[in-house]
Amino acid sequence: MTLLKEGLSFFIVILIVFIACSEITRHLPGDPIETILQDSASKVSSEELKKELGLDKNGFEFIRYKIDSLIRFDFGKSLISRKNVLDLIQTRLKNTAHIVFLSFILGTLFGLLIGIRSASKPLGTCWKLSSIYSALIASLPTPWFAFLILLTFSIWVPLFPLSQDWVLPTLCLSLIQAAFFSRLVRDRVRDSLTKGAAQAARARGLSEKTVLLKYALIPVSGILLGYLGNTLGVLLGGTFITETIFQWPGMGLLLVESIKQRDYTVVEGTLFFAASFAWIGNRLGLYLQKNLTGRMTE
Amino acid sequence: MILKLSKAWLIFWIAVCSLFSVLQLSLRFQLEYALKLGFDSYGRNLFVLIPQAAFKSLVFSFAAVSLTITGALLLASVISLSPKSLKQLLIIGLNTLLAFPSILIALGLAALYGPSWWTLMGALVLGLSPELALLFIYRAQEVLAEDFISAARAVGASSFHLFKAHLFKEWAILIRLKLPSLFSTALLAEASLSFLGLGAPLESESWGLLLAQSYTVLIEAPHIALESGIPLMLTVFALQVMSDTIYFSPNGSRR
Repeated sequence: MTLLKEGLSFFIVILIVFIACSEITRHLPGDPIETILQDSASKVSSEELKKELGLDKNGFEFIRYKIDSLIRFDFGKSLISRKNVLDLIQTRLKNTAHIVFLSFILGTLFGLLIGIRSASKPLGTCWKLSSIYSALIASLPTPWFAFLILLTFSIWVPLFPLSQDWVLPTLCLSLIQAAFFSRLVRDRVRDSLTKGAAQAARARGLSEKTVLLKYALIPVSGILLGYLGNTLGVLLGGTFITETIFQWPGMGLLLVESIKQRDYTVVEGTLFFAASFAWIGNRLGLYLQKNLTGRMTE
Repeated sequence: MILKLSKAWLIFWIAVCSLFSVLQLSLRFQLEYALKLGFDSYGRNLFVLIPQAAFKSLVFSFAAVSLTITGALLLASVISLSPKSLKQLLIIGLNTLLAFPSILIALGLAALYGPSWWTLMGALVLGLSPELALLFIYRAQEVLAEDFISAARAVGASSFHLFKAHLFKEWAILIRLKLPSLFSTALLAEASLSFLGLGAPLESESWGLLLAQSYTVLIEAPHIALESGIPLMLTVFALQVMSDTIYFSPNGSRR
């Protein structure tokens, strides 16, 4: 029953997101068709465009048309290149997934290492360094941080190409993710170490490594996995700045380019996918946090 | 020590930005200091341009944070006073909205209305208000469940009196806790969205537009990127330090 309820709420939210994204063209200033033809310099006729975007329908008919489009995964055609929007997104999504999954794994491992090391010795050197690291990363604007990486590894020390390479965007994303994740791990593991189970384990003579991993890290892994689930969704849906700076041909760059070119159909499709990933990541994170926290504590 | 330095930097930087924006600096002054930081790709003196751009970003962020807090307070007040079933529905709606990153809302607005200060403002307020409103609502629920509230209600205290006497005080404490981090989030969001060309209009000046300009000449003139980014980084860092000092006690545990 819970699964059915979750599935239904998931579908309803996705449908609302889909319709909300589709509303962009309906709510353009002035006459939407005129605005689109002017802004995008599209060669399509206004009648054809009206039918393609569903702007000849209103109210319940429009919603029914949108539900039908969602079920068929039909996002229409690009106003400029006239290519299928879904095909464009699929190609770019593979590139985004490439850097996101790599950076996610690297960032998680690095963050876990720093977090556990800091938590084992509060106010020690590693604790202070990790505080400075996370504070610095939190205060660096992402564009500027990416500039620094580009300057350092492509211009001053030319190890990697300036654009269209996966290494630097992956490095950028993983360093950012590691900073926030290490802070969370450090705080949660530190809290967990002050509880009875960890102290009792120490009193029984267990090694510090066992106390840290079994009695401090595992009880809080539900929260950590919840955070990671949420982060994955946000990363898949939102690497706009990183992809723009490193000119990595992913979904984020596609969205930014299509907004500038006023290619509204591509904007709608990409926004829908980005929002859906963020939503799925958030639900996954909540599910992991809710279901694993109690079990891990037991 | 770091807190004192952070406060000193904030006061110094805000004073410099205000001065450079308000005063008409003499040509002699500009020429005398022109070589210190160099020029941007349009030939404008960076020594003067960076504080002026920073001033606009700071004023904008301050306005965005004020609107966000006002919006969150209104939302929280309305939801807290709503009947139970409607309250649950509205809280679910806010939680659903929170699942979507605010940058997506910003991009959607930019696609609809094009880049402008109002688009940026709308995006920030829509992105930050739900989280703040939920914080206010949960705190209100905690306070309203206390025994002294039940006692006050039993002797006939109205909802408005309870709000005025207890809730607003608690909410004021929350605002004080969240203010530095809200301000730093607004600054970073403005820089990021203006960098993408989806925030501040291109003819104006802002930190984000300076970063966007520096990207196009990164190889030939990296000094533009470095010099425009360092004050922004220091300002946000100072705000983060202030936020952390409010949240955490000296031994590393949460207050």
